[in-house]
Amino acid sequence: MATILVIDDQDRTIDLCRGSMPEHEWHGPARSWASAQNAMGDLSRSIDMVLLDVHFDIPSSELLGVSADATDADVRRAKRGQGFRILERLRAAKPNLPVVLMTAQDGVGMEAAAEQFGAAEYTYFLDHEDIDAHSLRGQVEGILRRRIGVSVDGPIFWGRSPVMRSIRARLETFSRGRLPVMLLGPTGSGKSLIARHFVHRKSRRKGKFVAVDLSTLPADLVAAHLFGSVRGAYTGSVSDRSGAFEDAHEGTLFIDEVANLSDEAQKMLLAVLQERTVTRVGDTRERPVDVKLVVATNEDLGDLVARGRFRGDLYMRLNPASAITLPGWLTAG
Amino acid sequence: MNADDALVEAVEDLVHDVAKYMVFEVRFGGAALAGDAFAEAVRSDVCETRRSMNREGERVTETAWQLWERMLPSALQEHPIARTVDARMKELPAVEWGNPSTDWQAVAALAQMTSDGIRELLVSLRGS
Repeated sequence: MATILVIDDQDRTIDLCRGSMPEHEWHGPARSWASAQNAMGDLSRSIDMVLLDVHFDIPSSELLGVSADATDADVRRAKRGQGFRILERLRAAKPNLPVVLMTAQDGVGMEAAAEQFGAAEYTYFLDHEDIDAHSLRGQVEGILRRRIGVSVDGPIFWGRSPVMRSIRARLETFSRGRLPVMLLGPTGSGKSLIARHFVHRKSRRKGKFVAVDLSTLPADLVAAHLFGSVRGAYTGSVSDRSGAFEDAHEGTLFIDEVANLSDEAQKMLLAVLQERTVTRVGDTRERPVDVKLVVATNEDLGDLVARGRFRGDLYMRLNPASAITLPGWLTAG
Repeated sequence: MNADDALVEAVEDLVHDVAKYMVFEVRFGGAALAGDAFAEAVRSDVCETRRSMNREGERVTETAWQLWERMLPSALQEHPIARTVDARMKELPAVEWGNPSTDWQAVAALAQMTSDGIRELLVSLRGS
């Protein structure tokens, strides 16, 4: 996720940006240089990028470059090139901040004016007349990658540190393989986001992503939820139901808080991993499943094994050698 | 600045504020827009062409035809292309915006033709 400030006298662009790129934090629109300054001062996080309109239809008192004795023509000209004036101030305040100028190729002599007003390496041009969701996303993500060196995978912000690069690279490798992926880390470290937006995507599997949080399920329903059940398997089971494993066939199954599994459910999970088939609760029929399994916990599974609270054979099947510990600050929102 | 230059600038403003934004969301969404989302994008483009905030901090919207009426210089009102655009603009308030069975593709086509007309007007003025 990146923090992006939109400086624009209209709401249309930011409304569309928020709708089409919800993974980023959008601020604005700041409708003048003064409100842009306020916005930048108010933000606790630094801004990663600015989208800047060129034409501002705002009162002359809020325009940069308009003197007290300005004629109507002067005001009109100031409105039409206000974005360049704002760019000039931005460059003085933040020389390396990526700024995307949103204007029409058919408007003022954009390149020349940009040069005149100090546009440099970190200034980009976007033909606002011809923009669509796909090209805007491409431009935004491209700049974030190239200029500030961050990796963005949906809502995941990897940052630039060697540690995070290493984690991302390892995860990418493990995501493509057949073995389970184990994510360790404190609550809020982004395990669920990683599973959904990184592992599932990088695995390139064609099935669905299915998530099960064991901390929210009654213990006696966990097995039926994961493996499915047949009618009458338990009180209230009025029909045959598939479980999460079947639902995630050819896709990814994310089991959060895997340490909460009961002994019986651990045994059933082990059987699924060994046989690559699932048997619904109360049934005898084995159904083949092909699932990329991602498990997560904030507990020390090795310690639970040592204390006899988690099966050692299941622990080994969950591929602890590939366990990835996420720092608490991986996700930025 | 002579009178002709002023007219060109006024129509450039029309292109920026009206021609661009009255087809903005439909183009932005592209082929991915369908059904209710497409209808809403067309409605938003034409009926909320300008969406901003006034000095009191209240959100204000203006339709494409309101902006056109406000921004078209009186000296251009009899220009043949402006008259064509004006005729198309006058069709827009009559659209049944709240009726789900409205032919939204036809409305979008009308909006696009109107937008194109404003650009055509600019080209004509620059060339004259």
